[in-house]
Amino acid sequence: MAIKKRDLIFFFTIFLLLIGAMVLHLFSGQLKLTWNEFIDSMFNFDVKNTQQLIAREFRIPRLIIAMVAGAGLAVSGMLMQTLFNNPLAGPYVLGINSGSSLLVALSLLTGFSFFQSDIGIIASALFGALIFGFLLLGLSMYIKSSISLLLIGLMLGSFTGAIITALQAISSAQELKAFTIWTMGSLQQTQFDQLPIILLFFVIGISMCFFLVKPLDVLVIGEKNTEILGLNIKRIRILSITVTAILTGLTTAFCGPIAFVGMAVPNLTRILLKTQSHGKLLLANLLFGALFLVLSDSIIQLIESFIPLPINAFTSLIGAPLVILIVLKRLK
Amino acid sequence: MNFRLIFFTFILIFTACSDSSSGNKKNSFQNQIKYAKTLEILECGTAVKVHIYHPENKTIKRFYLTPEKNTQTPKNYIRISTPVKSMITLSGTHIGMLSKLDGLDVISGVLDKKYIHNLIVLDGLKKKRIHAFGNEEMLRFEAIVNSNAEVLIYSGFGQDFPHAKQLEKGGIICLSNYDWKENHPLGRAEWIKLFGYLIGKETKAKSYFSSMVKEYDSLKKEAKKLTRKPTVLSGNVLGDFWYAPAGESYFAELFRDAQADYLYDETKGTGSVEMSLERVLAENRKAEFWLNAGFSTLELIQKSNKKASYIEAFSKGKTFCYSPNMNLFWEMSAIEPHHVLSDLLRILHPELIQKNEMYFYQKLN
Repeated sequence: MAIKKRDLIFFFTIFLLLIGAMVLHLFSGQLKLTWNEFIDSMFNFDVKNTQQLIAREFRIPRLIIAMVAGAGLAVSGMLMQTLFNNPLAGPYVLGINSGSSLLVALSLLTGFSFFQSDIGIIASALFGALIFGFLLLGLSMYIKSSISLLLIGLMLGSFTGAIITALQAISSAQELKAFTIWTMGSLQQTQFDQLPIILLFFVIGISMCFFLVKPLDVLVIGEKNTEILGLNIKRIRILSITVTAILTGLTTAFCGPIAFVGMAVPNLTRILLKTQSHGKLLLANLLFGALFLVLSDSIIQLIESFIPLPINAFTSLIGAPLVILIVLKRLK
Repeated sequence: MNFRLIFFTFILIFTACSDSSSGNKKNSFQNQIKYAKTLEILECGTAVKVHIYHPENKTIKRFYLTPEKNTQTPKNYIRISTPVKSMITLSGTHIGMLSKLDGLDVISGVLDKKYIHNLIVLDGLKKKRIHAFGNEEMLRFEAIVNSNAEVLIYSGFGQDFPHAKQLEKGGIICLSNYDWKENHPLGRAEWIKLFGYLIGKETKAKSYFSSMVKEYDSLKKEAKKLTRKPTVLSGNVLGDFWYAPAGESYFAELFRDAQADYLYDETKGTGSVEMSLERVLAENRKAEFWLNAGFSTLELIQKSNKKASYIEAFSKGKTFCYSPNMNLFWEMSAIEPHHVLSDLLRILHPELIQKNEMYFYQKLN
């Protein structure tokens, strides 16, 4: 993968912007904190010190989960768009998020205590994403039209929405409340102690992506050519869906469903980089996805006193016009 | 003949009901409401005008309640023939108010039974004397039309009741209830008078209300003598935000009357204020009491809000809520604000209220 000077400038700029956004994010909250308080909160933590507590339990986990979710969803979107050869594909549109939501709903609303634990919710979200991912993969073997596949994804979303509504109708008030809170999504509930497991899953998912870089580059030129070159298409598909399920399930488990990032960011990176090289796209989506969500969340924190906006509403507010632009651009 | 006509016209002019501003108190519509801001009840003889004010845009819905069959309905008023014999109530607070008037027999429909505490209503549901119409998002409208109810009362959340016009064509009059938007707990309770007038038990409603006000005021007076104000945190996190009662809400008034030091006492609004979890923790970490956390056990709170344990009132076991008996609270707290105040005083100032039992609240374990 030869990197041109222009690309190098692009990556360096995005990297610098990300660093800037991270600093902005860390200091965007209502309580004023210093660098020393951040450092002490990591290495010399005193639970009685409110400033340190805010730094350790709020600002740092919120920043990390925003980066992980942004990067993870953007990379998942990139994989789905290449796999289904469709720029409008993404974990949210294809219904992979819905799979996670359905399994989490079943876990929370059926009352089994294991499924109501942290690990239970993560496992449910991952398992749900995997089931729906492979279901879509199976259908894509028979349905060649990418529009039809997107429609099926949307229908899966509606179908699971209907099942969830039915489950809500028969569940107890407390179970219903727990699920409603989860569906609202939030970047604020992640704890410092959960960061190792989040980062572990994230690193596993992204590491698996590196094995997909070359096969995906080949897949872009067509499935027949991929087979001629001796690559196993089935394996590429299974690996892509597994990575998407891990990254989407991880994000959905810790933040709830987040819309549009998975669709909008990969398209933006393709437009900006004008490349089909998945090595570059992977790096760009990692950086740009993290930048997008960190910046969005910083803005949310800065305007919170005037307009309180949930993260999902904010990403939709930016993402939806972006998608319309992409569609219009393609129509031209 | 002409003399007779002039005489009757004269009598009619001087005996007909007019607005209270005209000065003739005996024959004018007298406002029966003292505390409620979104409700006005004007009474003159057997005629009653009810004005329900939208809390945000201040538009008025006008109703004319009368037992007379031949009187004319004033312009812009919707006529309701009293006493109402069959009523659909879509909020627990309505059930509480009707229970205080021994008027539960008029209820012909409610929401889902999982939101009901009252045993008479539950029994009515079991025996199918009362119908359950689902939850507010998925009401079975055809069943409502088929129920032959005369009036449907719902909690107003800003917009008109869906299908209100169709229901009115079917003979069901929809009334919005904004008790939850009242900024005084007594204003909230005063909505019982509307139920009283609707079912022909206005005297009972007024009598209950005035005796309850006396008890409330007496507790408030006792509390005023206290010098210490314990710090209180209220509400919980939902999604990205913590929702706490706004400074002009009835709960903020209850906190003031219970001599609590509530940090968001001066915020604007009659509903909730939304804040980030981080801000709430930074400002309330050392609050002595956490009230209305929205769950029935500490474990459930921790599950929904993983950072709850950093609030000292949570870790020190000073978290209280009505959630262990949620349906009872939503049914009765609006009409028994003196009991809510008593519970708050028992929690915050145990030296003032000696008894152990509380009406609605429990210490969470």
